[in-house]
Amino acid sequence: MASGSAGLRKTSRSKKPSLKAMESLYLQKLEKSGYIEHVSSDEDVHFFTEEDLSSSDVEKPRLLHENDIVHGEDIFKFQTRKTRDGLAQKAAQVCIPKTPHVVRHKTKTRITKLLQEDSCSEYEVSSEESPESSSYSENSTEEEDSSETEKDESPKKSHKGHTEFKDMKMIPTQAKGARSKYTIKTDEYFENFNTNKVKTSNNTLDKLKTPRLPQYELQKLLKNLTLSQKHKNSMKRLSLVNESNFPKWFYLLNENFNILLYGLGSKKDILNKFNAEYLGDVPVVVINGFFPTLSIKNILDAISIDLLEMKETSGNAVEAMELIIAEMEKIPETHLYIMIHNIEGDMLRNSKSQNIIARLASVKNIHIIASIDHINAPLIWDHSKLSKFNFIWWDVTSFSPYCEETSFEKSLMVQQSGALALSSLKNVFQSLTTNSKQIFSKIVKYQLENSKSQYYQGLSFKNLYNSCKESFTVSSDLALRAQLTEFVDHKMVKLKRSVDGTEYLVIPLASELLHKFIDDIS
Amino acid sequence: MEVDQTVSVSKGVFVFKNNFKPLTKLVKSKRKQKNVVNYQNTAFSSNAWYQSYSSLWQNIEEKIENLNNAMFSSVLSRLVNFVKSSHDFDVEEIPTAALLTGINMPDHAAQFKSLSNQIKESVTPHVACLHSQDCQNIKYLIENMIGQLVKEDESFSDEDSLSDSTRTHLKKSQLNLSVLQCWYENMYQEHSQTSPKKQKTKNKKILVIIISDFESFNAEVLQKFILIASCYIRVLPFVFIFGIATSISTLHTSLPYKVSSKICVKVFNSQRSTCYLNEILENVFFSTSCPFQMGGKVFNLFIDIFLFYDLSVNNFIQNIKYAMAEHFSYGNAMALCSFNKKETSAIIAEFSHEDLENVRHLLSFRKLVESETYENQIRLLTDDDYFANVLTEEIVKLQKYIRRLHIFLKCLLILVEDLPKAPLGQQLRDLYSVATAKNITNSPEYKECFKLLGFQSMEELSKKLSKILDYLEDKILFKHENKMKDFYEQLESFVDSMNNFNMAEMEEAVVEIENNEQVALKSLDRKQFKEKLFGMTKSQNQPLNRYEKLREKIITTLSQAFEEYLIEPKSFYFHEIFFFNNISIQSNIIGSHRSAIHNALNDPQYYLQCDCCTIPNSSVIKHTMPDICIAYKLHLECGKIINLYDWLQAFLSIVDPIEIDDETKRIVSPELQARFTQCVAELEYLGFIKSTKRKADHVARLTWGG
Repeated sequence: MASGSAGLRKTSRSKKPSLKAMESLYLQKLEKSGYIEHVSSDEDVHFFTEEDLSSSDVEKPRLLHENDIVHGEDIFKFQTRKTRDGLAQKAAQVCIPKTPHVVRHKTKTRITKLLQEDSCSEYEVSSEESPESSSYSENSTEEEDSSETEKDESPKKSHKGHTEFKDMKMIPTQAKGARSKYTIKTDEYFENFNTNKVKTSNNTLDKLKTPRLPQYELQKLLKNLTLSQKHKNSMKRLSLVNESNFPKWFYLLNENFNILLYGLGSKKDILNKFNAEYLGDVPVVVINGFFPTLSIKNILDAISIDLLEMKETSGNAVEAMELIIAEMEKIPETHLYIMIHNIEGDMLRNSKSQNIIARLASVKNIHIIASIDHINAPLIWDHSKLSKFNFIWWDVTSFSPYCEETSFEKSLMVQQSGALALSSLKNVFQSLTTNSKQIFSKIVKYQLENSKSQYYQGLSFKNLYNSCKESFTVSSDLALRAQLTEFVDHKMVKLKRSVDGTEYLVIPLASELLHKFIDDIS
Repeated sequence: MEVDQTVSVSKGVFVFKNNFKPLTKLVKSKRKQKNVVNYQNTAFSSNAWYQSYSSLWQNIEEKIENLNNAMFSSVLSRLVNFVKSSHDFDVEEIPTAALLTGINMPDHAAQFKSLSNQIKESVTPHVACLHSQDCQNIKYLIENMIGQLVKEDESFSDEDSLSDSTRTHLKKSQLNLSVLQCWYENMYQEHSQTSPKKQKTKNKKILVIIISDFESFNAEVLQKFILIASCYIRVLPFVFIFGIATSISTLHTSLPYKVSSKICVKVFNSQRSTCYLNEILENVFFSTSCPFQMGGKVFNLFIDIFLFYDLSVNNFIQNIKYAMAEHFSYGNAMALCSFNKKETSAIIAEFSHEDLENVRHLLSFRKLVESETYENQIRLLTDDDYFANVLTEEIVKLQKYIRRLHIFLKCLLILVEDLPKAPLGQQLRDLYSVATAKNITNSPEYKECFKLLGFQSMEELSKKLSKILDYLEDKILFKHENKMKDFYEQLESFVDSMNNFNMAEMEEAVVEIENNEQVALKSLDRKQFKEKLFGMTKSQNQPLNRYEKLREKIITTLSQAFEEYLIEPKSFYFHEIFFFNNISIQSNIIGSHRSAIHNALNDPQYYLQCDCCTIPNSSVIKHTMPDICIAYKLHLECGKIINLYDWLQAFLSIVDPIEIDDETKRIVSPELQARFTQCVAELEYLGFIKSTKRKADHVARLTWGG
């Protein structure tokens, strides 16, 4: 690189004097005679600096950030302080027609001072009602003029935590169709995280009648939910618009691009529809990326064993992938479509899985159509993965609720009923022999009786063995161990070794669940 | 297919075979296979636009591949020579080539592929290419490497009909270096038995290990590998090739002395990706073989993505491919995007009424109609035959224009590329992006360039002109295009006169200067000296003036030619057929995922376009908004952590405003609580919040601002 730039400089220098070619020729002659040496040297310096300037010119992107509208107001305005009752205020601002008198008064006087026009009469009249957001929108144009002066004033007020003032600083309403790019503002990070202590109230959900809804009830309630007719229509229209892209997606998939869908709202429906309409007679693998116990091996096995019916597969994911690729290359005329709901799902997030999917995506007759939801999802791909994926991005904002995606009981507000764990435990339990059933219920009972003590470690192996011997369920130490390994394999029991070397058995479930379990069995 | 099939609490992967037959069964009925072959293409292949698209893309792909091979050849031949000569003498250290590849990782695959192919062709069949993702630990690395070496041998041994013993399939877990050693010795033993012992060393082929992404390898794995390999160097002639994306210093930092002393590194530089891009552009996309043209905006976008995102030529090509796919998918009108006059007229002749309607929908058709008389307007709109004729004429015009555009852009580049500060840029792509976006001859940069050209010395100008002549000679078909020929002859005469001028006048000037010099030396009087100098500048003006006149003439001629040919594409009717300038593809190439979610949550009306959610600015909340938007906007009011209870109360007071003095007395209906619960779950799912244990019933915010 160094040599390259040196070369460049050399050529440009030899050409620069062309401006005054004859003059320099003449100067050279003079220089020889020793008269005006300094002139030529001066000239030289001049050329040099010019070059340096031109080479230090940094090119800037012309188009990439063209659309990034930076709202000055957003960055430079004084942030409302995050206070204990910020939420309440925000809510109040929207609907409660009561603002403290002091505030109302201050607002009024300030506005009248600023807008000495007729337009402000509305505020004066509304002595009983604080200005609502809707009324702002009506005379937004008049206020726009005063926005400059207002900005200077507002900080004093907004320190008191009255978010209303923010509303009046006019951000011109977005022209329809004009999209403002969202840029992450790093300054705000420090603003948020530099404040020493965040004050929040000490209220807890226990104040509610039902602190947390159980999952089944939640789903039942949500089913009955209806949206306003307008929004229903809008959402229908949105999905129609999105579906109009189907032929193009199919076309692009066949041109060896892969499709990535993004935007707010569940994309499951639209993907399923695409699957039904266009992929009806080609092999398709559908993957629920949000599924909590999914693994990359599951996917590879599904492709290699269930679909391709290959005889040899490998335990190693990378090798299994290579075998699949080799197999697919043997049948170039068959196209395999892989549909991944949430390619950034918890279990696929690691770079190993993404690498494997990317490798599959780069195969000519494997096509991937995937969706992302998490706001940081694109961070899982680096350049080489992205180029293997060769994604065409598609905004399919639909506003449809993430019912299924959020149904796996990790939510904060949902009662952790553990229905899944319970049902799986029951299923395994039912398939056990009577003897092992007895052993397991012994452990359960012991745990229920003793787990309330603070230092509960579990049922020691010795105790279990003794009690089992008494009830003639096992005859030998070894037989019991064989039983236990079965439990451990099914994750029904955990083995712990304490400091003194004794083994303890613990069931990794909450005691309420165990109670339920016992009730169900008996 | 019902939706229910993909909903399960026990399974995350679902396979739909849809009549797919696995390979084993297909082999039996090979006849049936043919039916499957056609399937894929039937969807689009009947369309004329798709046919021209696919043939064009195939053509381009082929050209790129040829160019790739040619481009890497210089580096490759040096590398191959290095590999060849690396084991000429007994070596103590492992000969290693460090290839500095640059950070454009996606492009490297092609480079290393052609490298390994060339080595296989000319040096040795034993090449193993290792990637970091397959080599997480030393075991995998060695298995992978030996697997590749032994497998290569299988195909190789078929040709040489070696003993069957080498072909026995080895399990991956059995592969280790002693196996490799046995295999290697076994292989070359036979040679030594049949031939005299002297040849034995010559026949031994080198084992080349290519590590394409050095940085992403685990340093420890590599260290171990190098140490192990160095133990075998006497029996197994290894050569390493490291692909290094950053700088050579990574090699020094990741390998300690005890390891780096085992290898003998030679550094190779590969070509910079900007050069690669220029080559590809000039030889493939700006050539007469590619009728598809990118408009200024789209082209700038691609260049920006290249220069500021990834520096990857491969991605650049894929972007163009996408633009092309998008361009042609407009409809059959795009089938006319071709440089072959006969072909286009044949296509127009075959056009149905629908196809012509497709052409009529182009925006520039309206302009054409408006420019015509009323009578012709009606004919254009209704008479298909008349319209087809007009279309053919316009297409021919465009074809001519584009061909000349490229020729004259190249001429302009020759003139302006080395001007001080290069106002129009130094690359053809800079000129192209300006010329396709606007009328380049009207741009201030162009005017500045010509001002600067007005100061050019005779030698430079004549050099440039003859360069242009050289270039034009290849491009102009002297039989047909008269105007171009005229231009060429004009330039030729200029160069001739300049050359003649050069000889006679210059000498005079020099003599004069010399005379003056003598005078100047003699006279020591300051006043006299000043006068002499003044006189000298005057006398010098004379030959310059004559040259200046000629120079002016040349520049006006050139400028006229540029003004005639370098007009913006938009001024042509039906320019959409050749120029793709739809900037909206930006969101499809670099998705703005976060921005889309932010927009949807902040201003749902943007997407929903309902009249109930109009908001004057983004901080306003309306109760008609979707629940998740309300919850999102409320959560923006909070700092690091959010109290769920307060959040719920705030949410409720917006969604269901009842006048209660004391919020705590509110009875929360289960429906509303369910709605809020769902909002919280969705926001968590989207990554805005997460649970925290710092305070009871609180969640942590993961974003900031608001």
